[in-house]
Amino acid sequence: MGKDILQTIDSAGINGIKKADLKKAYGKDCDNTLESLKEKEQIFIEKRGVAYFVWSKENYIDYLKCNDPKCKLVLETAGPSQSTAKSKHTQNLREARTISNYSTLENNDFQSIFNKCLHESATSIGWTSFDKVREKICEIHNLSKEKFYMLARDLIDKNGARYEVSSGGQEGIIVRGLVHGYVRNV
Amino acid sequence: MYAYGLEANPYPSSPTPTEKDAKILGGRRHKEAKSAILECIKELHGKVDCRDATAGDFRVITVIQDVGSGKTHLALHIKNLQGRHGIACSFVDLSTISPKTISSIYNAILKGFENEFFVQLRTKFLQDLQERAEQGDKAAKKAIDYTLVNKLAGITIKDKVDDIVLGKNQVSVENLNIYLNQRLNQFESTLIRNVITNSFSGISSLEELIGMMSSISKLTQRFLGKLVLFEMDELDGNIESTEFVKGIINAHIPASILMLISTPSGYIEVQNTNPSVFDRLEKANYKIDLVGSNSKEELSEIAIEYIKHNDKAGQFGLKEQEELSGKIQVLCDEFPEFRNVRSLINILYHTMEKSEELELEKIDEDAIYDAIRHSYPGLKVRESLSILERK
Repeated sequence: MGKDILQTIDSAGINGIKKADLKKAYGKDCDNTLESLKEKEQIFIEKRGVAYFVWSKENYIDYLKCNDPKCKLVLETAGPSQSTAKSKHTQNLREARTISNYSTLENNDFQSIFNKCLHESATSIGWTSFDKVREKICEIHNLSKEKFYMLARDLIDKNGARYEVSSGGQEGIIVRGLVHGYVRNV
Repeated sequence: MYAYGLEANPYPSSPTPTEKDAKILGGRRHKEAKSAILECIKELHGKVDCRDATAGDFRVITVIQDVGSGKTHLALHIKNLQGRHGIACSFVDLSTISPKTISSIYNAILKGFENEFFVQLRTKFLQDLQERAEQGDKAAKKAIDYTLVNKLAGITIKDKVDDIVLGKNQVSVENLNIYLNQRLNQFESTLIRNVITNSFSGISSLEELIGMMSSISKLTQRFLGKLVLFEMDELDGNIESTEFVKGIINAHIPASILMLISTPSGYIEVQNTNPSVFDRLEKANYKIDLVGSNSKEELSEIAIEYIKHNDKAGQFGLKEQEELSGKIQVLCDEFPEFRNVRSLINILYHTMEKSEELELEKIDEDAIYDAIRHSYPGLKVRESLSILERK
């Protein structure tokens, strides 16, 4: 199954393929296979919009070059040629992964900070307003408002079963076209 | 004929639930919430049975959850069950009252009861008058205007009261006032007079409002053996609403339950505008939590319940339920916009209409696709719907 899945992912090209589509095509066992391929660095998984997309290694680098200016700059600075030499390719990939890993680390830290803040400012039934949480976290951790909401949105999208949001308020994350300014950890 | 052999569309079409729509309640979490509310009612019944209620016989329930998650539906469903659980229920939507004055809130509470409630109360009040008159109470006889002339004409006290119940005759309002004032407090007298004469006088102060609500609940318990459930929907930080709620909670209206329904936004508004009310709500006896009410599983269960309830032909078996559940879960994955009870029911209503038009045996992807296009014409569905089609 691993080979078939890899072939399907590779054939999706630079746009990648939705994880949900792979699960529908290959069933529930697909998740384990994807995890195994990810560990071997044969594939990369990233959230785009509201869905998770999967790329083969080479397609992912091409995707990053086209969509992430920072990554493009790093990769171009790391080596001018597009040679298929294995060491250069591995180095490029390592640098691209470093950029990606930086975000992951931030996300992991952010989750525990976010949860702590929710716990401290919530009512007895768990609800609090995003602006309260945002003010606290941004002040202590020197985050911009935009960065906070990007991380919060990402966290809540990845952990849908763990958080609930509710509409209203002056600021928050946008769901179904509405500002959802209230959140709780369930 | 609709899908699954249904004679009518099982899904409601209105964006907000009506009492008729709320006869059906699906979803494990919603049913658990219902059980918790019924448990509160049962517990209070156990306390006040066979005695007059006191200030300690008062409960507060809060229901706080996101918009479109089924809170109002739950409240109306409980109201539909009032006959079975020994309660008289008044449902008030605070968002429909403007301006929010003591008088307008009181009128809304009265209107929030079923007509049948006042009919029953009136009959009981008059029966009580009849019994006292038959026992020789002169004031009672005067109140029902039973005179020597009636006696000589062979009209019994029961005949007289029966005529009053049927509206063929009237009480003597002046003598009724005298009778009531001798036996009851000002508010109880006012209520009984209002109910018997079918004419409710206005009120203007919080003291009067609390007095009248206490009278409603005490007399309902005494004469009908029921508790009163006051359901207040759309509570927010509005000053009049919060002051009213504070007054009611502080007054501990006996033999009654105050159920306050709000969104997290409204609840936090209360926190910001009236911390003392917020503190009281934080200490409510029962805090009903509909957490997970918009989860895929809950939405599937709700959708299935509507069809099951109407499935007289027995065509909606386990296989069909699982298929429909699968389609709903895919729908929720692909369209986060619909991951909400209200939105899903809207889609399914239109899907069912489509199934009738196309004479479908069961709901399929085409019907869902057309329903989404019809309901959300601006939504970019082409790419995502291909997933449903492949499924």
